[in-house]
Amino acid sequence: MKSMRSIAIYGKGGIGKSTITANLSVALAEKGYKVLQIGCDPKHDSTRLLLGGFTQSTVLELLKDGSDSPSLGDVLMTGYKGIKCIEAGGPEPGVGCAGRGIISMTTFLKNSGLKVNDFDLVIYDVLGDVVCGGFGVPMRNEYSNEIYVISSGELMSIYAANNISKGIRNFSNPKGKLAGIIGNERGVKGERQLLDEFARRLGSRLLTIFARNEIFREAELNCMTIMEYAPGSEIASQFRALAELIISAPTAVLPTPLGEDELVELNLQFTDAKVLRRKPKAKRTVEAVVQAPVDFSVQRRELKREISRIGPEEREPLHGCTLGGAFNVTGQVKDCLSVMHSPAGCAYMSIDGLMSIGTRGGMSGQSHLLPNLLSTSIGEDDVVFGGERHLEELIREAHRRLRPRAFFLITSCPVSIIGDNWDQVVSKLLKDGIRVVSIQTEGIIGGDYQKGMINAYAALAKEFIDPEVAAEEGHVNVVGERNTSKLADRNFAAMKEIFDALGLRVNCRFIRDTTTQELQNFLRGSLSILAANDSLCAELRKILSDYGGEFFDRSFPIGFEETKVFVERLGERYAKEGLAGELLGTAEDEYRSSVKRLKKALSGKRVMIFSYAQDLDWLIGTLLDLEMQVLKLCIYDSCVESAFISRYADSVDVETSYPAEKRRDDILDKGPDLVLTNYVPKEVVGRAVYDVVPLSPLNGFYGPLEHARRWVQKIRVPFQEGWREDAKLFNIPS
Amino acid sequence: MQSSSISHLRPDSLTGAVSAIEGIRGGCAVINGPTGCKYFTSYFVDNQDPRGSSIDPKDHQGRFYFGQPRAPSTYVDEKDYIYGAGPKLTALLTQLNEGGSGLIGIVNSPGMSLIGDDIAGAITRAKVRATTVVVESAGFTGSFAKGFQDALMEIVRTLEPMGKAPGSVNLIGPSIGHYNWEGDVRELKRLLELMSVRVQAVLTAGESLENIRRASSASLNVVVYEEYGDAVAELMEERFGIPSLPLTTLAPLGPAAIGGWVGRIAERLSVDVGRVEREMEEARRKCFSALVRASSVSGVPKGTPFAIFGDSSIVAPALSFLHDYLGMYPCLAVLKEVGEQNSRFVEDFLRSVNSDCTLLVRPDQYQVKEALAERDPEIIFGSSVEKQISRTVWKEPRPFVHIDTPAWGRVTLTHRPILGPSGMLTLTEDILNQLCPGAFST
Repeated sequence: MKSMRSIAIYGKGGIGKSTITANLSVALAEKGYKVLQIGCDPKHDSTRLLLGGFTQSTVLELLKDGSDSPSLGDVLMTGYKGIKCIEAGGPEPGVGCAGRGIISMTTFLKNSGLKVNDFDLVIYDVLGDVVCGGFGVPMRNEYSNEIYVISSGELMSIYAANNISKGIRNFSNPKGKLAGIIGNERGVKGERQLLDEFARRLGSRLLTIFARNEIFREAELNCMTIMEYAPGSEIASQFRALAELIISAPTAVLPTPLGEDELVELNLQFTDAKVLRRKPKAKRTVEAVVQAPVDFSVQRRELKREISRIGPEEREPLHGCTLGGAFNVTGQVKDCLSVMHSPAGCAYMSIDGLMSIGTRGGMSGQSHLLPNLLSTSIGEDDVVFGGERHLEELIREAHRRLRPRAFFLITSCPVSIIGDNWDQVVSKLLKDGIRVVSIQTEGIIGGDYQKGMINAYAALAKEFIDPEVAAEEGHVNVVGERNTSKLADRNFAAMKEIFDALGLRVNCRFIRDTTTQELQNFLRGSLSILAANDSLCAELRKILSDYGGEFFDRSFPIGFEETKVFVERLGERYAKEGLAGELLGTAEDEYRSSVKRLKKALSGKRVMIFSYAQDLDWLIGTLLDLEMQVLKLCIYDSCVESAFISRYADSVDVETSYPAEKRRDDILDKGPDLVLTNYVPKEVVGRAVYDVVPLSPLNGFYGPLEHARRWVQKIRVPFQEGWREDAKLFNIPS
Repeated sequence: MQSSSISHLRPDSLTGAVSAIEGIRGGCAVINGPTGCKYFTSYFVDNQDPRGSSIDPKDHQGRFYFGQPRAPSTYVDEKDYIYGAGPKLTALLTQLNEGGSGLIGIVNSPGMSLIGDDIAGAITRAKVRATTVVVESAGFTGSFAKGFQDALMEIVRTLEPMGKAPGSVNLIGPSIGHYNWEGDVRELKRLLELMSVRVQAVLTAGESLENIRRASSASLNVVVYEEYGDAVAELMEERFGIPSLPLTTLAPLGPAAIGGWVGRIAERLSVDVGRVEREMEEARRKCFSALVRASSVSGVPKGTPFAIFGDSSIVAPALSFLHDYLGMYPCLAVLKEVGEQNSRFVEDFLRSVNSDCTLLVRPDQYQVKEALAERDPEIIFGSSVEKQISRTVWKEPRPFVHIDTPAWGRVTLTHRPILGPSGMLTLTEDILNQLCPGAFST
């Protein structure tokens, strides 16, 4: 043989793969070939007969033991006729991910210094059907040159062989790699002919078929291959012939798997069985099988969901994942601890999201840093063998050390994929008096970032809000502050000044910089006030409405006019019109006097606005107060903002769903003095001054005036900064 | 499992792998994973190594970019976990064919590395013209250095052997994830230039793909950071016969380590170190002049108890610099990435100076907080994470010197390395400014 050949042997579970593979290895070794047999089955018995019944250590056992420097020598054994043996191993049934185990094993072997080129043949003996990508790994071109499939004439065995052929088709090189079918009789009528025909229809051929023979059992009971136990037997000769055939490298093909109907028809050709029921022509729908009375809307939703899961159509991308979104909320509860059952990276990304990304390099200014967060930091061993035990140990240890009021459990994609049962862990911990609140997440599988936030708000409300607590006048709740905004605490401070002036007390911030006690007493707030008028706050209102309590009809205001109405209404609600009047009197004087000063520099200036934010009345109101001219309002589509609504819609030129590519020409055409945008573009055109409009502006009477003061300063200096000319030096495409 | 480790307070192996690829000029990392894994990673590489001139999402509206300039992703969702993301990956790679990247590195997110997606098939179907490397599993909870090194090994496996260029070296280990990496790389190149040693390639921070392809022709490999390069150096020795400086050679931080680093390279390549020695003399003269004043006015930095947080390859030489040269007292040392030789040096060093210094390896944030409270350092060297933790310990912020990533809310544009003679000046300057602000105006 000129160079190393690598082959994979597949077939349905229990079909006799390991027995046939081990005997084949011996037949090849007898001919002087150096053979390595790698068992890819969690039950790790592929090489048992080659090792005289000895069950060898598996690669995954070695990795699970967490050895610092796992060595190939620990898992490579020499069996009968010098055949080298490796077993992948795997988790106990029902836990972890056996497919991942195969990937872990191949990675280990790749890095272990195993010199595969020292062998003439490397044979992978792979578990059953191709159920997931992990078991498909040995099919890949980098692992196998050709594949053999073992099958009996039983319907399910042929079904599995057909499925394997589909997998081979997916992973094949252009020439194909199905090198043949190996039959193993089960006593089915017409078995040889059936397999012969099946192989032909696949485009391949039946290489040989092993008859049922008691000698298989006898050899196995003696912990030997037939080649060792009965070398002179007819079966041993058949293995030698098969080995010859394989050495001659039979033509490999790109298989043509059969359709389901064809498969059944093929089997019917070789049976005398009477056909009493044929497979239905069409799939039964959910509606067809449900019994009345039912809520069909629910069924349709379920069906739609099911279709959307498996449909071929392009789906809307999800922005961020539930894990980060959930932590955005749970990380705000000061006396509790969030636990991520996740890779460590998920935890870091979530922290950085709050500390840095959300504010693009600036700090979010949160006072209770760092947020309370632990991660199970799952490793290779957890994903293969299951991570439930580690999750339980981590929470118990943290409970002992840190004694938080409660744990919030947030889960990631990998632990969901491997099927960890964290609910069971939570039940055990709850029984032992450790309070754990499971947030519905599962990384991206549970949905996007906002969904994670909503799920966390709902879970925390359900867990903590005490329905028995009575409302107290003069106490208000603040709901839905933006935790990633660096203005969040300034906004709260601005609003608190207003509450203080009206003699109101903040009962609970739901949920920012909060304690479980405050959450528990949520209903003491006689009025809940939303921090923003956006889709998230709308969802929050729905969630909290289940607990009763009144919601204020105004959210945190921005700019003088909005804040004036806010104060008036709040004063009316609490019969504190006098205090409200006093506050408004002072604020109006201060506002008007600031506007008067600013107008000197800004009056008559022409403005264009480009924004992802849809609610811009605060800005337009300020511009009009300053007697500036709004030339056009250009609103980009946004995945998080609600639809554009404005009380100025009729008096200002507005273009929604604004295409970014129009921006340059529009600015040149209209010639504004000032361009306000969420992101100042790299190329500023025209003779306009550019400034940033924050997506979450400062609340209260005077927030917009802070921006106006900046415009005055910006207009006073050259309209284009010197450094912008250096754009020509920056020739790397953005 | 690394239970409740500080590793979750640092960028992880996925980010490390992406950084290894994105650190190369002409390299493009593709994240085969959900947007949840993409947003941070893409932000991180662009923040550490800004390439484009705009962060306006409208400038990055491609189907796979999500308003970010770097590291496109296949935005995996539940269905992709079941059926694979092959079609999206093929479409993404096909699109990249038009972009002219010379190197495409496909990195599976933790979830995708579970399902065994057919990446090779997608590469074939997309008829990718660039050199491609695949990081099948960036590790579920691997460290940044591990991810970096795994990806770099895949890149090295694509290199072809070349004839040797005499007197040339590769610098292995600098990543765009290192704090102020650009300054350090520039400083190391400058030092080597003073010795007339040519740098064939930096693996990988800021290096061109063209130079990376020439890495197999270097005469000597210099592993700057053990955790990021030990296995790569081994692989390059095996594949291309390039010897390495011993891993016991500390990164050139502080006069002793600089002397050792330079001396060993000079010995191996038979070059003259005279110009470096003169530079060192000048740096020492400047430090002396500042230290003698600070020392006479305020008595610092001698005896100042310090805590240091970082990779063992930085902590090891830094301990020697701070203790032996500045006379400061180590009371807490925390290793984040652990190299065998460097961590052994740290242990031996602390033992040899009879310090009662607390040494922690990858502690969690609560252990850090407890250790800070107990050891009460007067100055802290580390990243923004430790800076924030220290704020929960004491009301008044403690003097702090940045030597590690992340550096939240900071921009550094000036040449402020921590390695080499210039690094010695940076650190001395920062320490004195932190410990005795205003002392020089008296």
